[in-house]
Amino acid sequence: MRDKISNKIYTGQFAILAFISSVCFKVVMLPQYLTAIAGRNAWLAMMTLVLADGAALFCVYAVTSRTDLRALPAPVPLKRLMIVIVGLTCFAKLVLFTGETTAYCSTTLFDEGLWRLILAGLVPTLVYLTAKGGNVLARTAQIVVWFVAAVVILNVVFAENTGSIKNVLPISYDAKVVFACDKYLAWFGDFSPLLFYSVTGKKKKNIMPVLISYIIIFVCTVGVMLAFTAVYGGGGVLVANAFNKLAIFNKLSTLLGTVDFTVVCAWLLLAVIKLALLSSAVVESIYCFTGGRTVLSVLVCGVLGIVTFFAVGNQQTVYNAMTGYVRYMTIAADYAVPFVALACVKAFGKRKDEASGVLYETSR
Amino acid sequence: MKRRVNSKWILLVVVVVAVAALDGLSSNINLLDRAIVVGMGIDYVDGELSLSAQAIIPKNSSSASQGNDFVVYSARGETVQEAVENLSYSVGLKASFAHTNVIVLGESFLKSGRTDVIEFLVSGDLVTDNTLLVAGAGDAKDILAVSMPINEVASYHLTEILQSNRKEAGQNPSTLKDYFEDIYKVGETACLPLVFLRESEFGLLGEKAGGEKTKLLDVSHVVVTNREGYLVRLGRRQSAALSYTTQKLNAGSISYTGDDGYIKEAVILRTDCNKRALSEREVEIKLDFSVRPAEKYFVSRDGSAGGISESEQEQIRAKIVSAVADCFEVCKYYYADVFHLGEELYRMYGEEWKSLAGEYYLDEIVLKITVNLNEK
Amino acid sequence: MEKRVDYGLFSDAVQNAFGEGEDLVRMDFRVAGKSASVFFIDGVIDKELCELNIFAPLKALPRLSYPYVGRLNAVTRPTTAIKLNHSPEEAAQTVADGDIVLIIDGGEAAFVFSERKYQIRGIQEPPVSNVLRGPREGFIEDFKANCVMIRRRLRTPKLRFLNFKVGRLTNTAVSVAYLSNVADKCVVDEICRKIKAIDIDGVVESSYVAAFLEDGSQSLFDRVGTSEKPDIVCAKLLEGRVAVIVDGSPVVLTLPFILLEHLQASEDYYVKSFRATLIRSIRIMALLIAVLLPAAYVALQEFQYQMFPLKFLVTIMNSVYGIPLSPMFEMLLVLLIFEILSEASVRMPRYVGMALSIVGAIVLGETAVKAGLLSTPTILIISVSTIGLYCVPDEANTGSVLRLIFVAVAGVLGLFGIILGGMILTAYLVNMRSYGTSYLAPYAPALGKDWNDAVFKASVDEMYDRPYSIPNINRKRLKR
Repeated sequence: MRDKISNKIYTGQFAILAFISSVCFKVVMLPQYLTAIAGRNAWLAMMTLVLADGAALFCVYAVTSRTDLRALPAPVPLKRLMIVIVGLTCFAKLVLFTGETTAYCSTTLFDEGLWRLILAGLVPTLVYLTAKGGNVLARTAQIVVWFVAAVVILNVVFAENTGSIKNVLPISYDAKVVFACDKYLAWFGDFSPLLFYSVTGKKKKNIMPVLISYIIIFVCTVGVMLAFTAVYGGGGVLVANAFNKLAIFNKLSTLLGTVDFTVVCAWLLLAVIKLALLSSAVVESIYCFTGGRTVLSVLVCGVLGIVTFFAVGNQQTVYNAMTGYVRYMTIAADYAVPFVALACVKAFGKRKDEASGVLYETSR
Repeated sequence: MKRRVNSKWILLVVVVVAVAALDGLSSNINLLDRAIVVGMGIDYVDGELSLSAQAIIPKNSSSASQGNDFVVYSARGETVQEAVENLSYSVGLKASFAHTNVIVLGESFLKSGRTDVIEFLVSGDLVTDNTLLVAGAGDAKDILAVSMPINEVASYHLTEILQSNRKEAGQNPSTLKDYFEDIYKVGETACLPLVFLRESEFGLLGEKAGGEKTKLLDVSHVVVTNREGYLVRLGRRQSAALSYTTQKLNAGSISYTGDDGYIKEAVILRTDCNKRALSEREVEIKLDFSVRPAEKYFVSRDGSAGGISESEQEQIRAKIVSAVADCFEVCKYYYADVFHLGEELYRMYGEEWKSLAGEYYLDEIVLKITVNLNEK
Repeated sequence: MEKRVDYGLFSDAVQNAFGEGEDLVRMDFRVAGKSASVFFIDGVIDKELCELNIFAPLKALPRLSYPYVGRLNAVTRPTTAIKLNHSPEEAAQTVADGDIVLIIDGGEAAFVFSERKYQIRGIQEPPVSNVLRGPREGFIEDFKANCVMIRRRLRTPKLRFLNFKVGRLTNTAVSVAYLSNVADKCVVDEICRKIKAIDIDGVVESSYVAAFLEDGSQSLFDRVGTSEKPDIVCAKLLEGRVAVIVDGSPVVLTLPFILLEHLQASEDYYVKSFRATLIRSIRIMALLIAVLLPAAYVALQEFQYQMFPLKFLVTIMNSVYGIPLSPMFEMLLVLLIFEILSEASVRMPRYVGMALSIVGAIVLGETAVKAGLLSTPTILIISVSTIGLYCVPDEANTGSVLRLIFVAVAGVLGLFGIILGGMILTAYLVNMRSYGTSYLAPYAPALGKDWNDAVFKASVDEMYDRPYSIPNINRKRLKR
């Protein structure tokens, strides 16, 4: 029976998903974490890891513009190993980021800490988005990104100059920066879920959208980190939610209320897509061995809900795990697997696989 | 076909039941069950925090134009969270601080060394980071509760003064974010505008019936703090000098003696300050003032056209330099690096300088002050 | 061996098919000495024309030899070609369709004359498609008149009409119109296949046919376009769409359909592009405000009060002071009242409309607020929302349901729920397709070439290609 769910996306959609996947969780709690270790040079740590991400991104694109992880021309045991590693890493990140999203919503949007309610709303949404497949997720991202872009532009245009760029001085790439890079690897390398998608269309060899997306990723992540340091200086160690807190400093704050709801809405939209992308990757990795995408979506998101239910009360444990052994799994999944996959594509050539997913007939 | 219709209805029923069930999970608080706090005060009484909140009382009216009443509540606790909870219990409304414009730190609190409280205010989401932070002379509760002219409340009035476009010389508004930005600089010194109550013989509408005097809020002084808390209170002149260097001044005036012997005023239109490390021990503060004489558009007493002569300008420069130097000397005595000179040196010379400088680096720093006047 | 009609049997069979029906007219007379009967439905034919051009010449016919049709063609002056019905059932159906059936003893078949004339509504401007500039003609209930209105605008032999009969008892005429050098034949064939597969007792309106033409399962959103104006339908045919005209309905269906079509009006193409762009942007904003504003108000009041500016918050607090209902239930109640008012305003007789409107306004605007049952901001928000909904009248029905759903979600999950609901809705919409066309084209997937006629509207002389989001076989529209 033909698989009606499609994981074929266009280059522009790939670029948008890459942007969302990369930027979303780097601008909330990560600036605080990096500042705690690297101080004012946290932006150097951010820049270093984003540069590494760039290499991974173009590697992933090179793979997906030819094939995808399921149809990869590689020895089966190796392919299965890669799928398992990517799936496990994505699940670990999913737990971490779902916890961060729940904490964010709980503190920003609700003052009673109604995190159970948040989970109860988030899990069915993830089930729906995951079950629909990558093509639907990519199109949803295409719609959502208009609003996000408008919000970002408005916030930049109406930003209040309340900091000093000199707060980033003195610039020194020291051991603390390297340590920060090492410790927070799990927050980077966000492109491995895209390995389950394949880029299609007449212009799939056109790398410009991906390049532009990467430049925007670089500017946004490093820019937010720089702005964070410029505004808060060393006091950034106390600031839990960089994106939200920076958005307060705008000329329209008296009109918008004490919480910039446009920024909150924009970030939430990105976060839901990012989480759906991760859960989609987990589902796809299991789907390679079993079948029944809808049932798997319900199962995976259900397990996620249960795990997060316990994780929210044990944030420190999750944090310690992600900055401990889990980060090495991240290196394998997010940096090694794309390169190995690309090597397989180059070595063994392109191979068609009908089980890869079929695009519903479109007019293009 | 029949199966499809049934599953849709089943799904609809499931969704309706789920929504109804979720409603039970959300123990949200109605808007009218909240006390919207516009001003917060923190004191330290008998080893406990005393939290005061100036809150709006809703009234049955279709608009805010008819004015709402305000009330000041207070409660105590070991921590801010405990005090907030006690506050909510005591008034029967959930104290909600999202619209807090100003936080007044009482003198007792500043001297208590409870830095965890202010850290909590920044790291938590109780108030926003652009909330004004002021020090209060005496109890913060008294400042919040003061009766203001034109039926305003203290927190509104303070916000107006400190956020107005025309900031007078000597007013150094500071937000929560500013405080922490400065505390984490080299020198770990931050300044807060000091609010004290000043009695006025005459109110804006004349002396009140019954001899009751109107109280005014004065924010022309500054309190210098470090990580441990209160250090020193700067006078009006020193506070004005500080405001020149923090570039938070848009207005004000400087008086001088004219060539004709009369006391004149030079209106400050704009200030600009650049700090530069000249060497490992020397920092230059360069101030650019745009001024105009207060009597520019009037013919002066001796019949000549208005303007500031060279000697008068020299006088003004000397006055500014003297004020800044005076401020520096006072703060130096308390090892309070109010001008963040150590920060400038650190930015220029890096970790090496910082590790060698030591705690008392201010004693070795030479401050060079340059003032440039542009008459408009 | 030639088969001849037995006058008695054939006529009786046709008569019996109608049973006791009183509107069937049977006229017996003799044609060239042979027994003949004419059957027709009273009030459906042009009697004067028939008497002059058909009956009188027949009665005066002196001689008639087999086969009769040639002679009948010569002596009568019908306005359409004479057709033959070979069975009484067929003849009965023809009479029911509104034609005249002539049975002559010994004839090769029953002869059909089509001389229909019945009362139809005059061509007027449709009530929901008002324009300040542009044609004001609208479709009517007559199938032929509608086809003619399209034909008058597309004077090309490439315009094709494929006719079908749908409905076992209504035998409703349905026509599929398309431009053969533009429309994708696959789409046309698919539509025709679906129409032929309709097996229903009756079709009285085009919405019956639309239900069968929609892809997939039931949805809140239309997946078949509708229009009551011939200029709009012709413009859509020129883009490569297919039109379905249903007899008895002034609403013509167009396929494939994308959501953006509801946000476009015919007037956008007749005014300057700057104005059109502005108006389209306002429509989209109005629709979003209409659907989301009530929910956002409930969410902010129940959960995210901190997003109100302080002075606005104080105003709201003062306004809701003493209201017995929670924000969500208050909003749902006002929505319900507005829906009742809206429905009543459509149904009520004109004579009592004015009085009831005043009562409705007074009840809601003054009394309920003064009594402390409802708050002023709620009334204001619903009013704005309802007005915004009718900026896009084609989406009014969908929008009114959506806003109810969003209010319920906002009452439970606040702004977070609105965002999640929006995401689910967006994912649902991007997954919908209409005959191979994505429902949210040209934004998902992004088709940059079609953006000159999306929210942004380019001038007509800059629209060189037909839409890429619609299947068609000829992209070029304008010569460069």
